[in-house]
Amino acid sequence: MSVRKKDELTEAVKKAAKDIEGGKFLSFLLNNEEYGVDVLNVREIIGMIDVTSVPQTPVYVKGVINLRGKVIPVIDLRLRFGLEEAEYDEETCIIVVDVAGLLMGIIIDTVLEVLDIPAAEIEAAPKFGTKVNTDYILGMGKVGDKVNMLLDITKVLTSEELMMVENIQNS
Amino acid sequence: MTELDKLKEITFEEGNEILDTLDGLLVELERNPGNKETLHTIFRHVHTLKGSMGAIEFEPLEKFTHIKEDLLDHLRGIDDHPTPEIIDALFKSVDVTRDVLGKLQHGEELPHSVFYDVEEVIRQFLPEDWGDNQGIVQEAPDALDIPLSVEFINELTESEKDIVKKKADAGERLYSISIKFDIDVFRQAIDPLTSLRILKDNGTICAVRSNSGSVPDLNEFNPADFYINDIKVIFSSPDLSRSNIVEIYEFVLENGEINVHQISPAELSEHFDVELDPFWLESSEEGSEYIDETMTPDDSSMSIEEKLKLQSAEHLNELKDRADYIEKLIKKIKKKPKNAKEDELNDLFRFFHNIHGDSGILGLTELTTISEPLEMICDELRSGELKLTADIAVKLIHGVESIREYIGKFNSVPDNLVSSYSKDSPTVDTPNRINQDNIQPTQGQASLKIDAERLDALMEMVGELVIAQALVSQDEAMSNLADGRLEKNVSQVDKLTKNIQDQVMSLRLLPLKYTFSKMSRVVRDVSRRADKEVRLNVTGDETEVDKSIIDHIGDPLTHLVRNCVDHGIEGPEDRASAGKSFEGVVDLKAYHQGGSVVIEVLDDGAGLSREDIYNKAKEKGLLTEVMEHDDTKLFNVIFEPGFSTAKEITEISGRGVGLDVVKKDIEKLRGRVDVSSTKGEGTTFTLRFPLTTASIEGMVVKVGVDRYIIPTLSIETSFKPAASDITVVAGQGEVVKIRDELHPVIRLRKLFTDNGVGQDMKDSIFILVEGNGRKCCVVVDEILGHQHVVIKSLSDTFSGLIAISGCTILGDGRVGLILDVGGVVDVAFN
Repeated sequence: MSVRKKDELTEAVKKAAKDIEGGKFLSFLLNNEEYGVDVLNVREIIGMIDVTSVPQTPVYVKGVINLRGKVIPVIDLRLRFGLEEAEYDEETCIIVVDVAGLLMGIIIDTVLEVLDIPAAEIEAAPKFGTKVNTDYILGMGKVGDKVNMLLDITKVLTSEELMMVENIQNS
Repeated sequence: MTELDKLKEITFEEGNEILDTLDGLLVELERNPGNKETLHTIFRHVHTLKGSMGAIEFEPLEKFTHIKEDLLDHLRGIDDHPTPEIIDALFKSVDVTRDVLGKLQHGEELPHSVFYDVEEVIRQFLPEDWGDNQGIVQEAPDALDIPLSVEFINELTESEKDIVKKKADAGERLYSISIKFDIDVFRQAIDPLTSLRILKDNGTICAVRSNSGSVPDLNEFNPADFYINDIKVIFSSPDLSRSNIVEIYEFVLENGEINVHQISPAELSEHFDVELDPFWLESSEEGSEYIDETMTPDDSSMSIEEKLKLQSAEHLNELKDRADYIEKLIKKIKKKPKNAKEDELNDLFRFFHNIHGDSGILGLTELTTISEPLEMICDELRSGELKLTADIAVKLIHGVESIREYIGKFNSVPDNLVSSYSKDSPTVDTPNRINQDNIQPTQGQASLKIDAERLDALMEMVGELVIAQALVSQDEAMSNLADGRLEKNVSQVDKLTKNIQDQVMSLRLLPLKYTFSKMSRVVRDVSRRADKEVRLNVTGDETEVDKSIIDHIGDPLTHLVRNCVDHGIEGPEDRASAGKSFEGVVDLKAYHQGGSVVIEVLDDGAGLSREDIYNKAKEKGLLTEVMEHDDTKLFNVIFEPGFSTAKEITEISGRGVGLDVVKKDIEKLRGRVDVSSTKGEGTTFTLRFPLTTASIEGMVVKVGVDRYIIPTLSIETSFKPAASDITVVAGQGEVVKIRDELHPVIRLRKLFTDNGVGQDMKDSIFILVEGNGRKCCVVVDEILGHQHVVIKSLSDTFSGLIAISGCTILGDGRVGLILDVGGVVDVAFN
């Protein structure tokens, strides 16, 4: 994916976030399924960069990156959702999200576009049948004949288990 | 945030600082109620407090502070010592004020009655007639009124007499004023020259003479002494009355003697040939502005401007106190404009006139802009050209309000931020010859208060600058360049960058003064409730630490101090039977040690009970083998969550919570806390913090694919041991022998990645580090170099990390993790 496309999407996200109507989501691909996050949470989209691993953390915490002087943690969303690990490639992106004032990066397969999904087109998440813990799902957004899983990114990134750092007592 | 909000924010902060200081001072006063010095200091602080409260538009607060000030003023004036009841009331008033401030700061609406209760209490200590004087100009103190001496008149030159004559002819009032200052007047921070400047602002100085007869020989000359013991002035003013002048000179009365005499028409006619014809009106604009050059000792080491400004600032403050009266006066005149007395109108004019004058001296252009038009209005009012209509009254009242607010703001420059300005600012030339031309408005203040956020932003940017600089200077292309000049220039930029960084870092340092003075209050309150006599000794409260530490150390420190008083110090009987003095002592010490700041909280109580802790630890399953024979280790178990040995729950310290919270709070600040204790002699809590939380010198090492930074301060040595020096202790890990000492070995590869296996031992490097007073060896793959790194905190996501204290951005822009040596040592010994 070109740097230009990422920048364009970042711009689109910023513009969409200003739209008070709401209902704007950044859609991305994870394991061939479409997900969405509220543009209000998205700060920017960057390509995959070197990640410094942090010891004693769960496997989905990839480590930290330097985002123009800010050190922010990066989570591999595939691993977070218990999906199969994938090699990072040209398409792999880090979406920088703002969770309650804290910046975090989420690694996803690739970003798609900014979607306009009105509230009427959003249904409650099914209780089962998804690969992702339904607590993390805001709802299912219908776009044409496709369904987009809208994530409650705040819950994804702030739940208790994320904060837990593995015990190294046994080392 | 609007300007006003910022101002309020500053005022709140400052208010709290003053309240903290007051707590400390009140404790001092309570211990020694006869100490007038303490009382004066308290009064001054309350006075400042009152001044700055104006910015917070909450009238009861201002009024309440005023009453408090009155009480203190009253106490200063009487011989009796303040009773414990009065001191209690003062303590209470500090509490209430702090409470109200806190609520106001959070935007809570408060009823005007919040202070009524305490106000009542305070009032009862005031003499009954006290309230009657409020808002009314204080009566001028006694000044002498001695007629003109013939000798003085004989000294006058013809041209001076001419000026007097002209002024008298113009219908101005003439005064002969003589001022005697004490020899130590400079040390009272008073500039004698101000006494003339004030006159000049209010009229014309027709003639000045001074007696320099007591100036000693040069070898006995002390530049800090004032030798001119008698200044005589003939002064003319269109509007000042004698009592006005005496009032202006109030400040002299404390440090000298003043004589103001209105030259009578008879005297004028006798000595100056003034004809007693009031209708002869030849106006004279020019006045002689002449000051005897012997006025100030030639090599006075103090800058005139500075003293002048100080004086003006004080004067402004006094004027602000008059604002209430002026406001009332305007309202009164507005009601019955016809009844307005000439004196009252003059008062109005003079108020704005003085504000105008002082603001000019201090370079407060805003204030000048406010006061100038109002001065003109009042001038027209008193001359009758203008009538005081409702519109004008509103304008004036608004003016008074903004003036009061503005002066409040100007005064809100707290001591602790009086930064390095004084030592770094260019020296003000001391003029050899002092004349009016030298007294110019000077711009600038001695210190400024900066938003912490801005400072942080600056810090961050400087951090970036350092990194960017490192990127340039460590670029490969640089080392391949054969250009000596470029290299030199780059290293120059290197140096500058480092200087900037150091300077910016130091901006964040503040003294522990306020934090410590808060503690004396804690000790007082807790000891009272626990029925113990406890004294707090403070040393090193001038020690400067990073602002982030100041901001967060309050709670944990309070907790420790409380613990000392409540649990540490024994009851009076126990102390007596242990042969200790009746009064328990808590010591609070702060000092710098190497790259850290150390704060110690010591008590001379019974010490920790080894058995109790041992049993409790056993019961809670916290006991480890090491603790069996290591008391330090055992005692530190008290920082474990849920651990408490207090036999009874006390009102203050509660039970079972606390010390673990203290430890967490302190660790958040990258600090650590330890406890040591000797039975029967007392307990010591030692808190250690890095001096700056912002940067360190570090050794960059490679572990696997990642790089870590080990703080240089904790590195003892690095080496490659012979294989025979390493011993594997079954079930314990490895130890290495260095200079006949054995140290445990921690392989970072094993600690940080899971694939410690396969690491070629021959190539790895051992680094001996010290943390928590113990040593261990960490094993790394490679040493990459040394670097000055800016510490960044890892986000809260990683709050529980062991052996990592933070991170930084390395020369190539990647993140490196900083090793927490203390944590590593802990791992090694567990």
